[in-house]
Amino acid sequence: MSVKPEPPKFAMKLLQWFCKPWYVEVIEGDLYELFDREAEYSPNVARWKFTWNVIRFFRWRYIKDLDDFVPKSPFGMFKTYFKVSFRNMAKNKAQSLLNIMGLAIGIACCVIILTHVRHQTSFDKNIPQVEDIYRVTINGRGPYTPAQLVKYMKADYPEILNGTRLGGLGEVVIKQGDQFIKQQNVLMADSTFFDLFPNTFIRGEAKTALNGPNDVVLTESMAQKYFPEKDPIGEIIEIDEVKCVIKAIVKDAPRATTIPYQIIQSIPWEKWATTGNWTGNNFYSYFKLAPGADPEILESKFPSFIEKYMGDEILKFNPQYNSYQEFVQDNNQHTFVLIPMRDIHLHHPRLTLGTPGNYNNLIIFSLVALFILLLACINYVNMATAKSSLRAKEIGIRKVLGSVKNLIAQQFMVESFVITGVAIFIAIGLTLIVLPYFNLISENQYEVLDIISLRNIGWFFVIWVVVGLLAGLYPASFLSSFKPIAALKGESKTGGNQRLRSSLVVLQFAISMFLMVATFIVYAQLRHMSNRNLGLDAEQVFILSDADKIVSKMDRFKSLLMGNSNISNVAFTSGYPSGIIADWGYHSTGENVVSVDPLNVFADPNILDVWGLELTEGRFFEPGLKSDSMTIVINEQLQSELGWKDPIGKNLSRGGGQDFRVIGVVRDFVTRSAKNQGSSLLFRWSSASTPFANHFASIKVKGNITDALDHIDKTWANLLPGFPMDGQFMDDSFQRLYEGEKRFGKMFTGASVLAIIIACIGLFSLTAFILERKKKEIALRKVMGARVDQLFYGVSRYFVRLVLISAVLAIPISFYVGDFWLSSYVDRISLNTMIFLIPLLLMLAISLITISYQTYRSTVKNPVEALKEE
Amino acid sequence: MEEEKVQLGEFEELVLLITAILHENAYGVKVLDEIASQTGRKANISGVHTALDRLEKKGYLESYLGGATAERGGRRKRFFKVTNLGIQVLEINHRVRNTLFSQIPEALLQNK
Repeated sequence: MSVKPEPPKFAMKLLQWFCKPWYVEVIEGDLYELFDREAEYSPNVARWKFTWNVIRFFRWRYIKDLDDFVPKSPFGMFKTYFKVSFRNMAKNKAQSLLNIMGLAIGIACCVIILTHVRHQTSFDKNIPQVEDIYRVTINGRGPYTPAQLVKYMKADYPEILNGTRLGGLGEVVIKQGDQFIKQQNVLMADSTFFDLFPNTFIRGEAKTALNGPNDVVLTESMAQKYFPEKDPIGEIIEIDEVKCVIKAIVKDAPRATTIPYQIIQSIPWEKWATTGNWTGNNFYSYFKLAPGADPEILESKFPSFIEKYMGDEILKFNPQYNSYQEFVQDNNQHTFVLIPMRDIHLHHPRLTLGTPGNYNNLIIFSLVALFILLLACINYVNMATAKSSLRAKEIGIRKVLGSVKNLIAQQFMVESFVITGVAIFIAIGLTLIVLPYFNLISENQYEVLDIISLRNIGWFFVIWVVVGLLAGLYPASFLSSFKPIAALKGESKTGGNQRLRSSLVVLQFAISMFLMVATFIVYAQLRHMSNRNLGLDAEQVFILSDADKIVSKMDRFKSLLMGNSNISNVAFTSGYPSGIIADWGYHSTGENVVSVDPLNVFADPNILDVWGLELTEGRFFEPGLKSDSMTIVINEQLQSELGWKDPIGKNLSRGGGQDFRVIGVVRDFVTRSAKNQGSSLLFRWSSASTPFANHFASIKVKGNITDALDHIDKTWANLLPGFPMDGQFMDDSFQRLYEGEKRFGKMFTGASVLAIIIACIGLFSLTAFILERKKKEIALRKVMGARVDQLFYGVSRYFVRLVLISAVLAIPISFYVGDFWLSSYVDRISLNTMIFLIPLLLMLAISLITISYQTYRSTVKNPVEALKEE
Repeated sequence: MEEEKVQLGEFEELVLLITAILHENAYGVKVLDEIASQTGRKANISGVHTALDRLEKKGYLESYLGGATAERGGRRKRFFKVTNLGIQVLEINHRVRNTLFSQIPEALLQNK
C-alpha cells in the first residue's frame, strides 16, 4: 500500500492563519473528507481542489477579527471602548445629542471660516512667479500712477523685467444690434498684460491679442454671452461707440483674483498714454522684477527718477517753491512705493480692482469661530464631569477587576474621540446646508467642492484630534482618578469640581455676552450712519448715470422732465455725494500761497436747489451768465483750509494762468462714508459743452415717487432709444457705502446667535444635572412647606449669579474692543450704558427661560416621588 | 410563526430541506453530497457552510460537535439538526407553494 496522500501543508497553514479558530477544525475536517475522496483518483487534482476550497472560505464570516490576529494587543480593548462609548451614547440619548449638536455647530463654524480664510488668502497665488510682481503706488496708498511710468522705469532699471498698465475695471455700453447692453468688469490693458498675468487661450494667442489700438479679448463666458452662435474671432464689437475687433478668447478669470476681468480692451488712447503728463494719475502700473531683486533697493532709486522726469511739472502746480528740493524738504512726500502683488487683496484692499478683502475681519471671524468651538468643548467637559456619578460604579468595577488609571483615561479619550468624530460628520452636513446662506450674507460663491476637498480632509483630521483632546483630556484624567472603593460605595467625589464647572459656565456666558454686545455696537453704529445728517436732501434726489449721452439734448431733457408735477428741478454735474468725486490740485494766489486738493465738482446753477444746499456767503452761479465760467463756489471746510476770513473775490489757481474767482461759500455737506473725514470741496461752473462736466443728472423728486420714476424712464427712453437707464436715489447710494458693515453685522449676529445657542445647550444640561442632584433637597423643602416660587428662586439664584459674574468680565472687554472698532469711524456713536444693559438683560432672560422649564418641572413634582426612591 | 416573517433564500431553503431529510446525520460534506445526488446541483463546500451558519443564526438549525474519528485527519464533525422553528418554516413554505400551485388553471398545465 502506497503512502496516503496528504493535503497541501501551505493551504492548511493559510486556513489556520486567516480563519477564526472556532471554525477551523470543522472546515478542515470537511475539506479532508473531500480531499480523501478525490485523492483516490488523482492526488494532484485533489490538492488543487483543496487549495481552491480554502481560498473560497475567505469570507467575512470566517475571517479573524483584529484581536484574533494580534492577541494581547490593545485592539481588543479599543473594541470594548468603542462598544462602551456607543452604549453610553445610546443610554443618554438626549445628552449625547446635545453634546454632539453643540460640537457639530462649533465645528461647522470652523469649517466655514476655514474655507473662507483659505479662499481669502489664496488671492493671486495662482499667478506664476507672483512673488516677483509688484504694484506701483503713490506713497503706498494712491492706486493710480502716471501714464508714462511703466515705459520710463522699464527703460531706466534693468531689474524690471516687464511691466504693464491697466485701467478700469469699468462699466461700458456694448451695442448689439439696436440694443445697448451695460457690461461690467471691462479691463483696459497693455499688450504685455498676458506676460505678467498669463491665462489659457482658447482662441488666438497672447502675442497678438492686444497689439492694435482697438483690440479686444473676451473671456469664455463673455464669448458665450455676446456670440452664442458664431465664432467671435475677428468679429466687430462696439464698445462705448468705438468699433473694436475681437482677437482672442481666454478662460474666465479665476475666482480668487484682484483683477476679475471679463473683457480686456487694449488701451485705446495710446498716443495720450505715451505722451501724457506726469501729474495726471490714471493707470495702475504692475512690474515684474528679476527673480530675487530687492524691491527696497529699487524704491531707493525712485526719488531721483521723480526729480528727473516730474520735477518741473510738480513745480508748476506748486509755484510757492523755487526748486524741487525745496518742495521735498517742505514735507511734501511724493514717491513711488512697490507693493507685492500677493499682499494686495488682504493688506492693501484699496489697491484691488475687484472686491477688497479685509484682513481684520478675517482675523476677527477666525477668532469668533474658535470661540464658538471652545464653547462647545466646554459643554462637553462640563457634561462629562457632571455626569460622572453615573459612571462611578463602572469605573470602580473596572479598577477592582485590574484596570489601571491609564487604561480608564484611554477609555474616556476614546469616548471623546468617538463623539467628536460623529460631530464632524454632522458638521459637514450642517456646513453644506448652511453654505448657501453663508454665501448670501458674505457675498461669496463657495461650492460643495470647496468644503469636501482633499486639503480639507486633512483639516478635518486636525480638528478631530484637537477637539477630541480638548474635550476629552480633563474628563479622562478626572474620571480615571476615582478611588475604586469610594466609587463603589457611592461616596466618590461625584459631580467633580463644582468651582471649575462654574467658571467654565461663566467663561461661556462671557464669550456669548461679548459677541452679543459686539453685535449691538455694530448695529447701533450702522443705524447711526444711516440716519446721520447729510446736509443734503438725499432722499429726494434721483441720480442718473450716463447723462453725458444726452448732453446734446440737455435743455429738451430738462424741460420734458419738469413737465411732470412730481419733478421740481434738474441739474447736471460731474459727480455726486456718496459717489466718486475726483480731487484736483489748486493753490491760492498772491502772498502766502497755500496748496489744496479739494473735491472738484462741475455743476450747473440748479444744483444748489436740487441737492438742497445752503449758501452761507456770496452767491451761486447765475443761470445763463457766461461770465461766471471762471468762478467757483467753495465749501466752509475749504475756506478754513485756505485760512480765508473773507473769501469772496479771492482767486484759486490751477496753475498755468488758470485762475478762478470765488463768488460764494456753501455749508459743508457729507460726500463720503462715515469712515472718512469731511472733505474740502469746490463747485466749478459748467455748461453743456464743458468736458467731463455732465456725467450725472440730479433730479429732484417731490410727491409721487412712482409716477416721477415712470416719467423719467419714459423721457430717457424717448431721447435715447435702446440705451438702458441707470439711476438711483442718493440716500440709497449712501446706504450702499455701508454694505461691508451690514455684512459684518449679519455675520456677527449669526456668530452670537450660535454662541448663545451653544451656551444655552450647556446651561440646559447643567441645570438638569444640578436638579437631579438636588432632587431630594427640593422634595424635603417642599414637604416642610416651601412654596414653588421660593424653590424656583433658590435654584435660579445660582445661575443668575453666574450670568452677572460673566457680565462683569465681558463688559470691560467689549467696551475696549468696541471702542477700538469704532475708532476707524470719524462719525461714530459713543458707547452708552444701554448698549451693555440691553444685552445683559437679554442674556438673563434667555438663561432664565433655559433653566425654567426643568426647574419648574422638578419643583412642582410630587415630593413623594423623589423621596420614595432608595 | 407567521408567513411574512419567514426569511429564507432559495439555496438556504434547499439546505434546510436536506438537513431535515438527513435527520441528525447532517454535516457539511454530507449535505453537499445529498444536494448533488438529490438535485444534481453542484454546490460548493464553503457555500454550504455559509448557508448552514446563516440558518443556525436565524434559529432554524442547531449544531453540536460529534466525536473524533480516524477519518478526516482526526477532525470532528459538526452535526446540524432542524429546530422546531425550522420545521415550522418548512411547513409554511410548503403550504404556500401548494396553495399557489393549486390555483394555476388546469388548462395551462395540460397545454405545456
